[in-house]
Amino acid sequence: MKEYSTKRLVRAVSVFLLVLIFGFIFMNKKELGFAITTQQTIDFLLEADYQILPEDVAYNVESKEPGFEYVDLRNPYEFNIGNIPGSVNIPQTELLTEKNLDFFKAAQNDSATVVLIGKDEATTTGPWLIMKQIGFDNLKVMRGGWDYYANQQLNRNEMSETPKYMVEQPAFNFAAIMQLMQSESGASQNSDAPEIVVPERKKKKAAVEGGC
Amino acid sequence: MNKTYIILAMILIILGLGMFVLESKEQATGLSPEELLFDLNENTRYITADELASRIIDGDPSVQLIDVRDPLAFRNFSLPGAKNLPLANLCSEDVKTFFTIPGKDFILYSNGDVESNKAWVLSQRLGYKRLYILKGGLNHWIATIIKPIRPAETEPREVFDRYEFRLGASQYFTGGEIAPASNTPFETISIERKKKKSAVEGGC
Repeated sequence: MKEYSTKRLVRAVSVFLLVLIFGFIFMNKKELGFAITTQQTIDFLLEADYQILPEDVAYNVESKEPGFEYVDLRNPYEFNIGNIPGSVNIPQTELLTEKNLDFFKAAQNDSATVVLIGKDEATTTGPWLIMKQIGFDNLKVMRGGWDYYANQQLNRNEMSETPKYMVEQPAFNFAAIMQLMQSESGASQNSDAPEIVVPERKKKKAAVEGGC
Repeated sequence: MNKTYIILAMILIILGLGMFVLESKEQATGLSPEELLFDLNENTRYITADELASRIIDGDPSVQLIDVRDPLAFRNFSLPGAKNLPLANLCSEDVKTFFTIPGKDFILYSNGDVESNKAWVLSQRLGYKRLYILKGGLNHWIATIIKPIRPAETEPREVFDRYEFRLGASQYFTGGEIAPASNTPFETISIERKKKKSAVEGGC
């Protein structure tokens, strides 16, 4: 009788534990997590091409190239003022809702390239990085964003050498400015009182030495 | 009897080990995607060039500038007190301890603000605190602080006040290159003193 009850206890405990373990597994699956580590993301960023030129987007839109989805990340107000024909408005704040994630998953299953369009490239890069790290590999950032797209004549055959969306290109000769700053700060240090005291003393010593 | 106790003990040990796995997983991820997106939606991560200039001039000790460009670009030009942290080095242990220095605002900058945004998102995911981005990057910094453009006469007063501040800041950062009138007396004084010294030497 006693043994029977302990057996039942063991069974009850193991069933309880199984429920707990399954519960944990289920919870972890439902929670949205990162698919790749930060180091993997950095390695990807250092070599992969994840951007698309606005000229190419304009060309693809005009010729109705298949296999592209356009997602506008700006808010609905900005979207209604002007947008790329055929683009879907998913405001950045609603990027990770279940409905929108389903949209991205559907595009991934169709092996379509999703082009993200934000106000400019800097604001588009953050959402793209989040989606990339979750595991969506079919997303691209449009360089320059809507600000560039809306205000330029986009012609693939007549692109300037340094278009305005090359924001990471140095706009000034940094080295020359640095040299200027260093030489100037050196001159101003000489005019400071403490700097002058030191050379005077040195020279006196030298004179005494020579005299002896 | 003994067997059941052993089984119970085994279950407990397995459960305990399971807790270890759960805990380490939580530590490894830092922020979740939703938290990251929430931080991204708040545009408080930007600091303007004017704000940064006034904080550096005031000698604010909490300012810690971080240059995310490559080492060559960093050697050519950097902001005062900046540390170089290219994207490739972000995950190293040294960087982790660096970001735990208390009482610092870590201000990331690059030439524009695309690279700094990338570095911001990745560091934010790792759970580093008090991260900011210099709005517009170095290109904007030089266009406004180092080489300010005189506003049109029709501009409101605040624009002129800001221009005055930028002129002063430009002098601070370039060592008074912009206004030669105030610079010359210093130079003449130092030259005079040098001559006196050499005269004393010759006498002895």
